Amino acid sequence: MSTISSARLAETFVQVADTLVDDFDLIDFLTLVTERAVELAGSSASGLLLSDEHGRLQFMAASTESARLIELFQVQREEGPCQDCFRTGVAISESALEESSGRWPSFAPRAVEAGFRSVHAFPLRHQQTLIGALNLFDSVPREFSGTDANLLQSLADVATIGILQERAIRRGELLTEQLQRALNSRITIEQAKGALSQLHGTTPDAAFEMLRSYSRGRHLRLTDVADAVLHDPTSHPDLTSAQRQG
Amino acid sequence: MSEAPDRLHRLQALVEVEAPADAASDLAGRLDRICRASVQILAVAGVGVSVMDRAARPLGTIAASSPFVRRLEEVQFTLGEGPSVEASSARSPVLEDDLTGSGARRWPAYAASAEEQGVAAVFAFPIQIGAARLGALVLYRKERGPLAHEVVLDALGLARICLNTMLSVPAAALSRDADGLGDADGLGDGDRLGDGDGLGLNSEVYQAQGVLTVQLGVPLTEAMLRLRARAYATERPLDEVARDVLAGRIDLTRDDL
Repeated sequence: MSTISSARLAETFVQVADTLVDDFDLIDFLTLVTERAVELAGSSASGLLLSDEHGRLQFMAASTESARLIELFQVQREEGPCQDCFRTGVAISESALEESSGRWPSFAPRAVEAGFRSVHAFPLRHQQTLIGALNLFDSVPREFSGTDANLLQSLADVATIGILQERAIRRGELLTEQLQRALNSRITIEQAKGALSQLHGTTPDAAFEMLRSYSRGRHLRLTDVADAVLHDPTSHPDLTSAQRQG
Repeated sequence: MSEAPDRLHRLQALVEVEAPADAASDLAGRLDRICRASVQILAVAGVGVSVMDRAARPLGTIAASSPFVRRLEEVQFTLGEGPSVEASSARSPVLEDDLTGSGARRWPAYAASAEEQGVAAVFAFPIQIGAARLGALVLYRKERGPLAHEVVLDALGLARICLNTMLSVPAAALSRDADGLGDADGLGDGDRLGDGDGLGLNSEVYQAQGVLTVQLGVPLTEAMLRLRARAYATERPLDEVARDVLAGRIDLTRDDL
């Protein structure tokens, strides 16, 4: 039986597809995918990892700070459901994280500590090539029905399409180059988070939200704004001029 | 699992097989050595490194394996079109495997000059770290046709070694618009790939780089150099120093480079 409502599902796919039409920003798009995955499944958090040109997973997007930290932990330790999913190419399901320290000695205790009790990972696949994985975290023990798992896999497939479609398909461009550009965009966003957090005396995550809502409100690409701010803070004065702190 | 460092270490070892340049300690000399090694590793006719300013405008060719590479790079800068310029501004590799066909339509004047030099294919890889663009590694071949996947991976690895080399020199050498890139003193073996070279996708290191660019009022490249210099001087891992910067526990404003 499915717990995902078909109305919500349709809405999610329309919204995600809508983002893909324009000259969209990949990081913004993947962040949206993680947020929609959480809404769709009624989960606690979601994160997305992408392979670099050497076949190592790197962090790309997360719905929340706690998911971001646990994803980074998986990257650092090279252990966890995303890693297993990426290695094997099949979806990974663990409905009892508290009992899975045999499976993931570092990751499982860390995830439990972060408040999660179950985790699922869905592969991002382009033809025969695995390019990453989408993770869903729940604060309660949970198993997805076959139908729900299929729906979430479809969302992971949409993420794959987005990654491959970014800026249409340039001449002679290969998957490797597309992944490399995606990862470099991620670095640009991190640099901009740091710069904006320093300007505004806030956390990098609050800075990310500022950057995101500013870009969205003006229909600008997130990475372009990040890049412009880093090279010339006066290029977007509404975003970079320090607010007087009360 | 550890394929990436393995590839980089293998490539670094191959670069070190190549004889050091006369001025082995300066940046141009070290990049020159990487270019000469790259010709062997990638089995191409010529390799060059061109440097760009912060707006991705070309500043010049700092290293080249042969004179024709330097000439073709300079043609691009004069015309304002070509693979290195495009790779740097688009922040993406530019692979043109047929300069007489598709390449001639893409960059008519540049392709004509390339043909005069007997070049049939060109491949440019950006040397970059997030929003910081430093330049491009460019490969020239006499035959048409795409690069094999393994060669692309090696070229990406060599571009990363170039980046690491450029980030190992004192800030003065890379400051502002990268003036005086050629006369920098090296930091000895600073271009070796050490632990925590900071070039993995470590969020905190890049966030700290962003913090420092604002705090110190310096370009991103210099912010990374300062971060690395502090890590080096205090013999601590880069990500640890980055976390201290983010938490406001250390102050780099008085650090000299």
